[in-house]
Amino acid sequence: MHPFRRRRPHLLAIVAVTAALVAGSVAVSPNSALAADTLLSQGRTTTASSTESAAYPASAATDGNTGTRWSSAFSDPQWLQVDLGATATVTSVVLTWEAAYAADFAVRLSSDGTNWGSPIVNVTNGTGGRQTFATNGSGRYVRLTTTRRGTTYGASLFEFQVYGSGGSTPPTGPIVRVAEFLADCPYSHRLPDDPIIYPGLPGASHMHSFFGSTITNAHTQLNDLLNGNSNCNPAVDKSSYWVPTLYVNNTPVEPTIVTFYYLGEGVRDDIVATTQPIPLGLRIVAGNAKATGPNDNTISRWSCLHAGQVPPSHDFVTCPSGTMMESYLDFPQCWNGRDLDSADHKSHMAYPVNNACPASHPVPVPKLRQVLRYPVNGSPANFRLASGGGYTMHGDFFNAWPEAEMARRVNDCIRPIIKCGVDGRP
Amino acid sequence: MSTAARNGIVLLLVLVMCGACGGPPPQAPPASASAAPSSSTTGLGGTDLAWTQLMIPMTAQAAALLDLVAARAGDAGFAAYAARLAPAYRQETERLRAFLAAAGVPETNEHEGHDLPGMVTATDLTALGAQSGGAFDASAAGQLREEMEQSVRLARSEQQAGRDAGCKAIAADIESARTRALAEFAS
Repeated sequence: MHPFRRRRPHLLAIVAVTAALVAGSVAVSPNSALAADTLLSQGRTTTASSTESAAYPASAATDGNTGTRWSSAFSDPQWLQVDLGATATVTSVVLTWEAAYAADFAVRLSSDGTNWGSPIVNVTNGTGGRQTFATNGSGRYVRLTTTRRGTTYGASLFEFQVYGSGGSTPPTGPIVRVAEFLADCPYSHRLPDDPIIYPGLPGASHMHSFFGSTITNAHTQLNDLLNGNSNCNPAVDKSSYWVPTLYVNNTPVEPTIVTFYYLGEGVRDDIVATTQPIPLGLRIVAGNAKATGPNDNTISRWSCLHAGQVPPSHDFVTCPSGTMMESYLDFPQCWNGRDLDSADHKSHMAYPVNNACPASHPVPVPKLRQVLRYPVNGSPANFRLASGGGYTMHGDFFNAWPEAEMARRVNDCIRPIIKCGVDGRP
Repeated sequence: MSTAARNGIVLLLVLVMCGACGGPPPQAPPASASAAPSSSTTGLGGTDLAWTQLMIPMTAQAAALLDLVAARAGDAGFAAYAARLAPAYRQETERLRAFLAAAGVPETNEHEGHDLPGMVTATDLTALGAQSGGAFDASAAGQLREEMEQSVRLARSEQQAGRDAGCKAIAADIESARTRALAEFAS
């Protein structure tokens, strides 16, 4: 639910103000669309009641980087505080929770960091994810207090964003901007089928676990996906995503957190600005199902959620008790501009070279990053993938995003380097 | 109309038509983007290609298993059976390869070493090499049966979903050969 939508300045208003500036005088009324909601909190001094470890500092919640996060100790209550430098009017607050969200929390403002007003945001029984709140109030300090966590872990935020006007001049230093939209698509079904590699041949493949589209099998074609159901959030993403099934002691175990990020990174910013929509019906395969050892598959990595001290590896990793083993896989993002598939199912796509798309594959599309979190930890001696060792991890993607939805996200999120939620809105 | 005026009108038309010159909005790719894997052949569909590329290593590796059984099986009847089947499997591999070559499709060996249902892998053969007597016969028989049943399954799918008549004919032959071999197995 996103009750609040950041307004964009109208073209006419921009022209009017530009003309006024040129004329030497500016009159911007308080109701002007331009007296809008600026991101005030990024890069500001941020403190917290506690941190789970040095890997999850408070500052990670205001660095503009969704790859980093603050995580508190595993207890209630906790707080996170941002100093905006000077009094600001706060018009909205956006919280991007990691899996360890807070169910009950409040946000308050203060002019001195000691005396706090009544809450401008007050939530009970929240369910995490990305939450946006329209707010009313002013102050220099913004404090989020969590009184009840939703999991046994701490309270963890990828980003805590405060919008409005005022505050002091932003600090110098690089502000990390992120171009992103995403889809959360849980596990749907298992079949030894692969409509890309073995079309029309049910049972030809090792076991695959399917996410997103609920109807995928060996015979699936694009129209089947478009006409079928998907369990993705957003539901408009009818794409099918699949990976080799993970087995623990020969029992299949499916990931409980499955996120597909579409990113504008890996190429220079000026190329990101020209990103094209992923064409309808594109098939992409990533990783190496035939790898015979960890060095045969350098694009896939395993790591531990809630245990950043365990170094990532191309093979399975041993995660501490209470944490989850996770898989990261980046798909190639440079398309040859012509073919939706190729004989080896890989040649029509390429990874960037020197932060640019090679001449052979000149069309930049969003980079698909597949992140799967499995409810397993400990020794991986009894882990295997249906395709073999952990280093055979791979992923398949059959694109069925409706064209308008894909185009809108590329236009609103990727090209301008803005982080959007599952609805494709900032 | 003077040349200058005509040029002026042409220029004006060009400018007017260039409405999106500030930078193209995202749009769908040209409709000519091809959905099938591109190949220089005629008539071969995705299923034909996938099936042929899969059956080449399946038949070749099953032939290696048959050779092993012919040489080391504890049961003489089993050894003789395998010795009789091996050449037929090899002929199938050659027939599939020739079919691809005639169609101008390079053999990509996508599935080399791949552990797929029914596929006899190098690891399987090594493990068998360490066994002997009744244990060897039982393991080998299990793998052989699995290969045969999978080959029947795949051959039927190819005949159903395939496009190319030549390819489907090979699939029909493999289906009947495996069905016969399975019947003999049972006896």
